[in-house]
Amino acid sequence: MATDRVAQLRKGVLELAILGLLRAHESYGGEIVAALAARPGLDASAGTVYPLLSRLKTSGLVDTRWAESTAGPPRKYYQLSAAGHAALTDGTQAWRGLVHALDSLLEVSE
Amino acid sequence: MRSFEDQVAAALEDLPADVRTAALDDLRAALLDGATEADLGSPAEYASHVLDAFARSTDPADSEGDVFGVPFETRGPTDAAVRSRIWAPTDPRIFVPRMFGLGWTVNLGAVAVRLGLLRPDDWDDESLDFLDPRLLTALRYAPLAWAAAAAVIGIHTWRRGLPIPTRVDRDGHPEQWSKPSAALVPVAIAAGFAVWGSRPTNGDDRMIRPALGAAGAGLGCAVATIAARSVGHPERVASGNALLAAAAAILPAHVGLPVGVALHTRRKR
Repeated sequence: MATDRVAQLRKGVLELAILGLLRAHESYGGEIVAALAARPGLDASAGTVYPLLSRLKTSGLVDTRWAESTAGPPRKYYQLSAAGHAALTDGTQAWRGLVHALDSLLEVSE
Repeated sequence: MRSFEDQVAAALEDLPADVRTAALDDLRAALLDGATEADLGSPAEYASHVLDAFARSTDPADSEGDVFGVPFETRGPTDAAVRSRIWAPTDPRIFVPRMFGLGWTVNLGAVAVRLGLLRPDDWDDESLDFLDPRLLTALRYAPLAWAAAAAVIGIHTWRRGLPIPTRVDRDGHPEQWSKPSAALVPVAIAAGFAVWGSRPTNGDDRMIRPALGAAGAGLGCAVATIAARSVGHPERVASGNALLAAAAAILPAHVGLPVGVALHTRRKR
């Protein structure tokens, strides 16, 4: 059950994590999956990440482009749109506020 | 054998076209990036992730927009989440934005709660799983039975070759007549609802979609019956109101029956 709770928590913040990854530069899906996998607690399967990318695209938070690859088939690159940058700023503030409040609560209850 | 992409596409058939296109485009990107079924899960699991991602992006209780305060909606025929408005016991609103067109419809779940037939938390995602699969199958094909009845009645009326009274005055005298082929119009409407209503689906939509299909096909059957009774007897057009009222009861009956049986079965276990 604890694993389920962690999975639900992680799922909720994955979108923000993807927006954060795309802040610095555009990436293709495989890169995003690998970058998340390199961060303990945020690793997610391709089966979870690509649907989230679809949702971010239809929500207008990311823009996409197909580009030829030197090492194989073409790749779809994802980059933050203006709305995505704004959502990242809002999400970051909300996340920090939440973490601060929750940390205080958990410290008191320990 | 169908490809991974084809299987996912079939499972996402109910999504709005733009969302489905975006999801399939990203699936193609994933496959080109080298993702395998081990990374993506089975087609059903991948489709489930897509549905889950998009389920959290919109509230199905909210209409697509409004015109001078009156809600409008176009997604009902293709979006199960929008259709779920007619059976939403946890939503206290009796009147909710209708599934297609302008205006409101009745949330039968809220009505059942107000009548004290169930509590909002009595119904959840698993409730319908307590239903006998044979009953679910019967519900799924009920719209086809209504359409078949409409076809028998409508084709019989058409073959009689007599004009059909389509409007009468207060004294029952016909004011307007239509050609015999007009008897086939309600047949076509019933057939359309029947084909749509018996399509495979999942979750509570296994009850809601066929119920809506049966309501539409049943209405077509009622109109076909009114036309059949009125040929040669125009005074009977007015008495067709009782048949239309009976047709309006099809939807609550098609929802009430499975809900009642599922809750009863669950409480017994």
